[in-house]
Amino acid sequence: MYFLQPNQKRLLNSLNPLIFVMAVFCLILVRTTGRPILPGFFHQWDILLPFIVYFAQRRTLPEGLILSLFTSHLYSLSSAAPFGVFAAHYLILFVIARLLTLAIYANTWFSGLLLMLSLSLVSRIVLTLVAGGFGHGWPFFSTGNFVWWGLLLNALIGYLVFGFCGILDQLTCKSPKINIELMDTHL
Amino acid sequence: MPKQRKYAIVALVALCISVLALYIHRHRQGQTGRIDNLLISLSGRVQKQLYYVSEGTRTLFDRYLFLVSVEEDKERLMNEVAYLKTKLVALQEVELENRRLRDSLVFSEKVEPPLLPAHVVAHDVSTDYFGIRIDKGENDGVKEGMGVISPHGLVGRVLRATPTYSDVLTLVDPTSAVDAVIQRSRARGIVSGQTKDLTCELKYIDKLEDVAVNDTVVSSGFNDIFPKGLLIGYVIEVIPDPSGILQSVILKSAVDIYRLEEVFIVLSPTQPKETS
Repeated sequence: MYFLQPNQKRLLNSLNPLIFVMAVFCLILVRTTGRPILPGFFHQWDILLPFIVYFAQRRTLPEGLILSLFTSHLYSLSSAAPFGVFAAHYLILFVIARLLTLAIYANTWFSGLLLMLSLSLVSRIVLTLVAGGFGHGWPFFSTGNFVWWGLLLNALIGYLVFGFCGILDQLTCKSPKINIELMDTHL
Repeated sequence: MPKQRKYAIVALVALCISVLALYIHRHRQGQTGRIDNLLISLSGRVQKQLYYVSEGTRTLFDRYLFLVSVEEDKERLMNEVAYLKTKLVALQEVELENRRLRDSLVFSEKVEPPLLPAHVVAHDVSTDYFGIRIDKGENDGVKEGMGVISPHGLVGRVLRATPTYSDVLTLVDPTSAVDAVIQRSRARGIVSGQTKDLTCELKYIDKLEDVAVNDTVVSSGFNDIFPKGLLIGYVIEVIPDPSGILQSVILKSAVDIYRLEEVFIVLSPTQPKETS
C-alpha cells in the first residue's frame, strides 16, 4: 500500500472497523445459508471466536470492546439464543484473551494455534456456564458439548482467520497494537 | 503483579459487566429495536438469495448426481404406497363412522386454523442453538409466539417477528418447550430440545407411565399454539431413573430442520366452534 497518499491511508485506516464488521457479517451469511451444502463437521465452526481473540490481542481496549460487543450483537440477531447469551459469552472470552496478552504472544504459528485451541476449549466451558446462567443450559458433559475435532477445527480455522485479520490490517494501513505495547499502557 | 495493573483488571471487568448489563436491559424479553429490525431485514434479503443458491446446489447433487440407491428406493416406496392405499381405504371407513358418531353426539368440530406458508431463508449461526429464519413477518400477520408446522410435523414457534422476517425457535432447540402426549398411552409431558444431536427429551414423565421405544408423540393442544394431535416425533430411548420418580424419554423429531424448505405459520389459536 506504499503507493497510497497519506490522506488515502487515513481514510482506509478509519474504514478498518467497518471492514472487520463487514467481514463478520459476510461469514454470518455464509454460515447461516450454507448449512445445506457445508459438510457436517462445519456445523462445529465458531465464526466469531478468532475475531474476538484478534480484537483482544491487537486492539486498544475501547476499540476492542466496542467491536466485540457489536459483532456479538450481529451474531445474536442470527440466532435463537436469548439476547445476552452471546454478548456475555464473547465479552468473557474477550476479557480472557485480553488477560492472556500478559502471557501469550500470538506472533508465531505455534503460539497462535495454541491460543486458538485453548480458547476454543475455554469457549465451550464459558458458553455452557453462560447458557446455564440464562436459565436454558445443557448438562456440562452432554453429547456433543465437547467434540475433539470441533475444537481442532476451530483452532485451525481460527488461526487462519486470525492471520486473515492481520492481512486486513495491513491492507487498511492499520498498525495493530501488539502485546508488548498493550502491557505497557493498558491491559 | 503491580498495583496499577490490578486496578486495570478490576476496571476492565467492571466495564464489561456494566456494558453487558446495559445491553441485556436494552434487549430484555427478546425485544428488537429499529436498527435490529433493519439489520435482520438486510441480512434476511441476502440470506434468502444465498439460501436458494445453497438449496439449489444440494438439489443438483441429490437429484442428478447421487442416484445410486434410487432404484431400490423406488421399489420400496411403490410397496409402501400399495400398503398405504389399502390402509387409507380402511381409514376412510373409520372417518365416516367417526363423523356419524360425532354428529349423533353433537360434538363440536375443531376449526382448522388458517395457515400462512413461508420459506426458510437461513439457519442458526450458532452450533448450540437451532433457530431458523423465515420470509414472513409482522406485515404478513405473523406475531411472536405463533406456532410453526410443516407437512412432516411440528417445527417450533415464532421467537421474534420483524416487519419482513421472523425467527423461529425450533423444537430441537434447548430453549424450546412444547406440551405433548404419547399417542398410545396418553402420557403427558413437555418436549424440549437437547444439544447438537438433534434429539428431544420428553420431560416430566412419571416412571409408572407406559412408554416404549417407537411410540408416537403428538402435540397435546393444551397451549392453543398448535393444533391437537400434530406429529412431534418418535421415542428412540427410554431411560428409567432407578432412584427418582421420573423417567427420561428421548425422541427423534419428525422434522429434519436442515432439510426444511417450506413451513406454515399457525395464524390463530385453535378454538372449538360454538355448538349450535
